[in-house]
Amino acid sequence: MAFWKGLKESRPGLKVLRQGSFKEDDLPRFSSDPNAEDPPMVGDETPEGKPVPPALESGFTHFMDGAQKVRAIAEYEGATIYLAHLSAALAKREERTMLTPSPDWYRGGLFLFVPSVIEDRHEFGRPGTWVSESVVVRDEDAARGFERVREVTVKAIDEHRNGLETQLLQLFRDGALLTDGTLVNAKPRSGDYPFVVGIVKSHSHQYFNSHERRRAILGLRTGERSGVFEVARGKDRDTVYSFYLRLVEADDRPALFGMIRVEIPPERKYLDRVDEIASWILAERAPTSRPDPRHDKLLYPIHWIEEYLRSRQPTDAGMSLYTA
Amino acid sequence: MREIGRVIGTERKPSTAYTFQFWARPEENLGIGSIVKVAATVGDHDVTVYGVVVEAQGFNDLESPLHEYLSVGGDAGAEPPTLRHEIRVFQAAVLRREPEEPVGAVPLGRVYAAEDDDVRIALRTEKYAEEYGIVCGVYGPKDAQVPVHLHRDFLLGPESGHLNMTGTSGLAAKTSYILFLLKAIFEHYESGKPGDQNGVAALLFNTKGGDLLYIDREPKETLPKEHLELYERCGIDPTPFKKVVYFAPYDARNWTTLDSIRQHPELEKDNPTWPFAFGLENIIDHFEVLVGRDDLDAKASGYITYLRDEYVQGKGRAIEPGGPVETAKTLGELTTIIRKELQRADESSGTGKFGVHHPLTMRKVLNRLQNLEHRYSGLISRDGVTEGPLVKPLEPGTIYVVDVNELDSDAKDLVFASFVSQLKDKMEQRQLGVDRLIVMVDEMNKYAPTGGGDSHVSRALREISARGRYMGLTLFGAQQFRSRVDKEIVGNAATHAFGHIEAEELAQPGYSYFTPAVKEKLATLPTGDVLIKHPHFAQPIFVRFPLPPCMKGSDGMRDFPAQRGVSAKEALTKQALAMGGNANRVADAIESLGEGETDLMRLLTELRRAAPGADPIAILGTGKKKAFRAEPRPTIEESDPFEKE
Repeated sequence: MAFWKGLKESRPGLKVLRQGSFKEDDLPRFSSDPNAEDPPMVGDETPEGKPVPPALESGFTHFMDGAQKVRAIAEYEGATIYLAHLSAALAKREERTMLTPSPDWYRGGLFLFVPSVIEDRHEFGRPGTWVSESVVVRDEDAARGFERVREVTVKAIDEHRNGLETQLLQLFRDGALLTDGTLVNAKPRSGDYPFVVGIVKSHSHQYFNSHERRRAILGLRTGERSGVFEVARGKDRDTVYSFYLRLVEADDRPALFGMIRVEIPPERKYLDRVDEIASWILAERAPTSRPDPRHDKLLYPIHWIEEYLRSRQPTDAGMSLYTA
Repeated sequence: MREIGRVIGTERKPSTAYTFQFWARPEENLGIGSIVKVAATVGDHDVTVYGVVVEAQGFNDLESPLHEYLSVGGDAGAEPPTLRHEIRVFQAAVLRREPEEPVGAVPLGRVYAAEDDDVRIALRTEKYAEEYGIVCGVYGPKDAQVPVHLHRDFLLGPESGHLNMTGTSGLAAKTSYILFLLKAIFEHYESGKPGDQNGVAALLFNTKGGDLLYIDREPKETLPKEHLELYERCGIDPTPFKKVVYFAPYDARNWTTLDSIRQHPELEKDNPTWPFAFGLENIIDHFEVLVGRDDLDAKASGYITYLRDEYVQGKGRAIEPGGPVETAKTLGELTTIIRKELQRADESSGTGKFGVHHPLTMRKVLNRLQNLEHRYSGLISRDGVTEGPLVKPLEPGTIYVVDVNELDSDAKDLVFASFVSQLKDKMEQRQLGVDRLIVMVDEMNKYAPTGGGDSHVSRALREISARGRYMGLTLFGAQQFRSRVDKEIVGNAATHAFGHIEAEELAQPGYSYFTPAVKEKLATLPTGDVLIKHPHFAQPIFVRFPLPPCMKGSDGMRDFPAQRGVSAKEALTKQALAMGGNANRVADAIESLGEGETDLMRLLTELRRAAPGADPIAILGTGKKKAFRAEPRPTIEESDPFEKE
């Protein structure tokens, strides 16, 4: 201990990690290139951390999340066939109580994902039990072997679930929605964005490459947000506004512990309310979603929907019945 | 029908044939004892299962209390924007299923609150409630109370019988409930249904205060509205018991009065208390109770049997050849006979015995008998004649209350042993006089304790509990500690009632078939609630009952304070007036009587033993009159002393 203490005194950025208190996911995976490009800041926003004004109440009225339960169910000529239960739900909160989603605000079902490398894939349909989805595997992917084919299939499953969420997002109009995940594909087919805010818990895409940005964002303290920057994602390169927000102090854990990235619609009216939106998110930290291992980033209403979706999934025993 | 939840069966806690779990919203009016109905379709047929809630759990998705603390940063006043979802999970025990076969696991169906008809079907009362039902309380919330019926033949016999009631003393549980049940029974038997020709009567022992001494009088305060509604729901008239006959022992210090707190002119005028006393024939049968079982060895017991057979119940015998034939009707006569036999033994040469009896044994028995007259002086008849409720045939629809409140523990034992024994004999000889006689015995743990040996009383109670139901004798036993009552007697009771019970008693193994929640409810059960176990109910059921529609003992004692220590003539006046005698004629008749104590006591005894409708003036007329004294007359001198000659 004395050894690390000595090192820390001369290196303020050094953090000794408390073992067992974090996940591998929290460890930084961003580019080590200090000259890499940072996303552009929006308006007058600057990268430095800013304290979010405290709020006792949250203005979010609706919450949305998706869930999936995937099992490799068969192999055929080297290709893996997946059975997945995919679902998404949008729930309203009234008088501090989460209401069970109405049938209109639930999407879900059992899908069989059959890679297109299997020629007679159309024979795998089982009406009344699952919907057979053909996963398009491009020739170049197929040429890279079955590992790649499987990656493509898994990605297709994720996209299918995203598609269910998008369907619900497109239906949402009134209220203030907090959704788990990005706002990619949230852009309405016509008109303005509804009041929708996305929370990104995983940091597979990290928007701080320069030394300056990295120090500003990783140095955020509890209840502080970064400046708002612009993010372009998805195949259409739709842009959204985004900022980092620290929900929980990292202390002796990796810097991304307790850190979320928030996405808001790229419109001025939302930019003007960014502090208010951040304060609502901070108010949602109670109750905690413990003992979920992602409790540092998972807000309780989102956790609630996850539990709801999980309750509608077939059990493990039920999934194994489909192998019959 | 309103859906309130769904049956759930998890791998860890699956539904079984006799128990199932279901969830319900917190706002549903469900609790321990609630009856629910499950409806499901299995295959192509409908299945209905009725159950009673025996356990309740409530939880949310919180895994550790620490998580909740951390959520609000230790601020108890904090109000997070989202409330954790709360759920109630109930465990229910199966009451009935339709169809009855196959007895499979409870299906994962919808759960409904039971309505009136559901309760009757669940408890299987729908088939007998009309004809053989005896209401034992109501089930359900105040706005939807359903009367619950016991089957007459399973409560009073002959199918099964006897009631055992457990409850903490002093919480208006045992006596109040049994009085309510008696009210229900009498209402039923007065209806003249088949098999009720000779009706039912009850014999109660008043052991504490005035609990049972004013049950023929209106309550001091009108019963609360909700209690009157309960009576209406049960179809019972909320009036005091119509026919009650009270008995009490004589006061040992003053035989003109009775040893009872129920002695007040107003009570005596309306419904007097009558004396009871045991003749020699009664007490000699219960000698072991009188002298203590340990004190009665085989030789003494043999000598007592000899005395009973020869002098008390037999035709008598001559103590010395050619002497007069001796018989004994009183304790005094019997002790005289023993003295004569001892004298004869002393005079005889040889063995020094009287027959086969050793003088030491005879002296021991003599000693004990001499003590009895002092120990139980108010209970043992002076003239050897038995008085009390069992002298005459019992009358249907009547409650006989024997007041032993003023007696000490030994005397109570004697009274109890004697009555129980007489009842057993009458039961076997089928001389009860009614179809059913209910005997209420409180403090069963004292009279028939578990592992308490083979006393005379416990033997008699065991006998009644085993065979009484066939012979018209039904035992309503009550106690505070059921675990300490003879298991055979408890086991022979088909119907059980449980009022408020202390936690220590509930920890005994005998209550292990209740779930912790049911035990918890029993430990906090309010007055007026009782848990009923009955052969027709697959599971025990909580019911509510109203206050007894009669005067409370404490009110009676306050309003009618006992007036004791009256003279023999005052006692005669009271008795004659109670028998309907004209006040002026009674006063004249008593004024004419002499002051001889023996004669006045004889008249009092005769009045008390007189047949109903007897003329008290005629009986008083047989008394010894005052000695005639001539009127003083003025003496008139023939000559005037003031006259001057």
